[in-house]
Amino acid sequence: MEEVLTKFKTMAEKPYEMLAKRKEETGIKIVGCLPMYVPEEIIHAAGALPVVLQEGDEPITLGHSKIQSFFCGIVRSIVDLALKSKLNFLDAVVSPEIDLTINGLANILQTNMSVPVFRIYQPPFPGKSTTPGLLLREIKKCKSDLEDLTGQEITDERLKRSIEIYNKNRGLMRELYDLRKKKPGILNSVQVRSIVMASMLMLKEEHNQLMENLLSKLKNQNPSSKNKVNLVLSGAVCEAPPVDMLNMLEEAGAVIVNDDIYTGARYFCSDVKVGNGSLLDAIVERQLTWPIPCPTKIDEGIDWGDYLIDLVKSSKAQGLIHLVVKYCQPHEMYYPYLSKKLAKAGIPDLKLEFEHETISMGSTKTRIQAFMEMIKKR
Amino acid sequence: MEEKKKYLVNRVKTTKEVQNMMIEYYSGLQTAHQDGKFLAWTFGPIPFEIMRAMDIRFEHLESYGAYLAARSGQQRLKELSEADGYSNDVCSYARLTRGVAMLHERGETASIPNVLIVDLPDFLVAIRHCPLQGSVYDYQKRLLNKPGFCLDTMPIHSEEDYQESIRYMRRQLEEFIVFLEDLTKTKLNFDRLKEIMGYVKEGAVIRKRMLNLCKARPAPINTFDHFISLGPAHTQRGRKEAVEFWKRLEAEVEERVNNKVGVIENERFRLYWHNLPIWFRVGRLSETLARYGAVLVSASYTHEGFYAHEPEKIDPDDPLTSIAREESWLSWLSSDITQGAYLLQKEIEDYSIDGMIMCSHRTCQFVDVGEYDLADLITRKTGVPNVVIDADPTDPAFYSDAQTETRIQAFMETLESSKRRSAASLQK
Amino acid sequence: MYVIGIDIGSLASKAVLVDGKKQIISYSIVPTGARSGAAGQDAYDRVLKQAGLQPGNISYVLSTGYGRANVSISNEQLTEITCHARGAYTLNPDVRTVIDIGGQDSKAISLTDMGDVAKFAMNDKCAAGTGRFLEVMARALEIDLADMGDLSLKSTTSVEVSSMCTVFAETEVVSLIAGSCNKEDIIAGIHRAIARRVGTMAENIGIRQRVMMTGGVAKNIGVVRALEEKLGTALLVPDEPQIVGALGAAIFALERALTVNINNAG
Repeated sequence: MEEVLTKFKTMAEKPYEMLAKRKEETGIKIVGCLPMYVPEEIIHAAGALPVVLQEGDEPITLGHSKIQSFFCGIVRSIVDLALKSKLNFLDAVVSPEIDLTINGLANILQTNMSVPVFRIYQPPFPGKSTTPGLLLREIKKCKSDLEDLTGQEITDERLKRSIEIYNKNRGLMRELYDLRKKKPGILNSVQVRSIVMASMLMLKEEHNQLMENLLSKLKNQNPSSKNKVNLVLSGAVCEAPPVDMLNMLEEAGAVIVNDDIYTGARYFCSDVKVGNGSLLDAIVERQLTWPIPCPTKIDEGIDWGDYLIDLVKSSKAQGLIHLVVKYCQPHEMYYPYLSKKLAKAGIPDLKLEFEHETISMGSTKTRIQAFMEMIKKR
Repeated sequence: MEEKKKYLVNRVKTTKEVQNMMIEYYSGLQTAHQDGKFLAWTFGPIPFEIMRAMDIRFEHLESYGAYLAARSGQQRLKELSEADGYSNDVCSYARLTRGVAMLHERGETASIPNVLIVDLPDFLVAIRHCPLQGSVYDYQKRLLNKPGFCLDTMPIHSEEDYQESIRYMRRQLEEFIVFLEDLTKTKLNFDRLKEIMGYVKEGAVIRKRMLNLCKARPAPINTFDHFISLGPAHTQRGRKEAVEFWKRLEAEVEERVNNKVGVIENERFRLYWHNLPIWFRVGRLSETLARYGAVLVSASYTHEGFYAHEPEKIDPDDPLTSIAREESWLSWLSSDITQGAYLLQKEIEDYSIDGMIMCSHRTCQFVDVGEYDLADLITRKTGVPNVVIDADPTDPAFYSDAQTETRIQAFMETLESSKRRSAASLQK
Repeated sequence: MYVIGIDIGSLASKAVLVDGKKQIISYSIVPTGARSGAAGQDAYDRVLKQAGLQPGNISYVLSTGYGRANVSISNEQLTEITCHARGAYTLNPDVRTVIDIGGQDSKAISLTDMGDVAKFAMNDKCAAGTGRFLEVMARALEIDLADMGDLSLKSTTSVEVSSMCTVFAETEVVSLIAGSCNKEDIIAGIHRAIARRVGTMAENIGIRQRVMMTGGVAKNIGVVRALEEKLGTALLVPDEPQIVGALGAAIFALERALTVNINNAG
């Protein structure tokens, strides 16, 4: 089991070096997806490797010339890496056009890199009658761009197969999360983060093999979580939470039992349901029925506050940590609303903000420890 | 002995009328319910024409924020929203709106001197032009627990996208009208809308002519004056009074052009301002620039939006398509660097621009992304230099007079020395 | 029975020695300097000496503060949030909100009726809203930090310092001086700026009566007044506001010692 976990860890630690190496060795076309919600199946069906671009760990230097410092870390980091020629293994970039920072990033990459940028605008209004039509148009446009890029037609057969592989991967990840909910501490949160991130960086069929291997070994484990405080993570939209922060939480006596973050449940929460309609319609349907609320969407049918209360209760957690990316305005705008709702429901919560530059260890540790001291007294 | 002038900037007189117009407008927002009218809080460049045709009064987030900032009324509102849990990284306009709602919650609407606090809304309307406007609309709507309608815009990177966007917008406008009719239990009078669109067109055509007059040397009007007279182009457009205002302003500016009267006496540099203005420093910055013989002749905010683009193509008999075209145009400008770059390059030539001020706003991020690329591109293509200043549209906590004035001074010295160099090389 | 609570702050380390009846027998405040472990030891040695006791007389030592992990003599550590809450509650059981402004950070804590932490907020990323802000301003004005309070009370005209950043604010102050504004008025403006910052953080967690102010900056009467005005309420300020954290740590130490005693007795 250690071997499998190490594979995941290595991929999560040095994603760009690993991808550059893979490109060199196999020549596979690699398409970078900006977070979040790119329907990767169409890229996969074109014979390319879809990867979700991650925040790098280098300090930002060249990036300062192209983007101001008061933007989220992942966007600044990707600009910086592009300027340092560390993303040259990419054959194309797909932007989901979800908010002003990601849209801007797509433009900056288009201006400063020589790779084509494809865009899929996803109207963030699941309830509007005009949404499905536009979304379908955008996906079709991108599909055609991908076919030109790879020279591979995205046939129904190929797309169906890709959907099946992706659904399988999402199912295995949900199985892992269910297992973690039932047996808190079976894996620590850094390990889980690596597993999800690895899925974002490799072919899903390869990840499936590793997941099946891992799950078979985990089934017999029975971790003890006595005296531990069960917590749920929320937020970290687009960016993976810092490893240091997760370690600090666990060192302070917490065990993470669930989340709604992108490098987590948000990535694999629902499947493409292939039915009688076209495959592209099924993909559109998945985008419109995303079960986890998002601060970039305007959806009257779902409430993030209620969702979190439900998440905490169904996961048998004692509290919730808001992982807020500094300068992520959509999340920062909703945070007070969420915190109030949780307070009304009697659920303790803590806001932990993080940015690209190293987090201040002392102050984060103090906040986490004080939060734990508070919960233990209840 | 010559009397030392108090102000270096010779401001046009007609723009003084705007203040009264806006006071009347905001008073109307305070008394809307007493007057038996519906009141909406709006976010983004929404189609005011439709609301006006249905006699619905509307507050507008960005305009109201500008008003509050210009009158130094934003401090308390910011504090309230920050006490409510909003990080000060959040859009300053959004924090102000939340602050206004909180004043109502606490029964303190009379507590800020010099400002009119608008009443709470019956419903909310937004257009997701800046993507954050959708989020601001959504969470405010949940907090206020009122009905609302949000229009969507799509990013545009081609002529094909532009045509799709017009269709997309038109369909949504029709749904928007249904929403308003259901809510107010009245029907939209299309003839009234056509009449309003006629005034919009008339006003926009005159305004465009007047903006073009700034190509003259010396510049007859400062773009800072354009910033503060946006009311008639924005929340007040479609009113006969707005058209009258543009006529008077055009006449005053034309007279100056004919008599070669400039905004400043010794015009040496003609500048362009990119991004939103700094609402609490409009007057002061115009004086600062004037000290160096610089005048602002053009800006992205005033010259590219508010129906400044092809107003002659507005068709008052087809108001929905006209509105859809304008919204799509705005979207195209902000989605894609090529449109903005093309326009800017043209303006540099037409207005004889010597330098560009790229204003980077801390919490109003929409135009910031890609600003550096645009500046680099234009400077490379035209040789016109640029300077970046850091500010915020309505939050003085993110602004330093000293830092800005240092950068402007340094920029002026650059422009000065390059002028001297080219004069010297001509002599050789 | 005797116990000791030690609070290692970034600028000052404090120790409080308390007896079995929760009475403060002695306390000490020493500069932390570069080595928090040594400062903790120093503070500890001083309270023992003042009380005329030996280490063997001490049943339990509990440490708190930024350097709490570096105190080798302590039996346990708790955060300064939990300790400030307990210390304030011990001084006055009517306290339900604590506002602490220290040298390099500030915090607001909301208490339950039992004196436990219900909610907290911290400002520790930025100097504005901390003692450091005042230090920088005092230097810019060329006055003694200790005089700022009294001078501000003589202010007659309202002068605002609006910058959020300490560095920007310093520039602002320098131009105010150049613009011939009165020093007293400027200081009052500075106090209002810090009160706005900290007050907003406190309002964030909800103000419940009674409100106590702790930390070194509470000795500045000008800041106290400005904060009272901002919050619209009178503040309780203990005679020695800097030792509240250490006192709280000592009270927790006492609880631990008594529990051990009961266990041993049984």
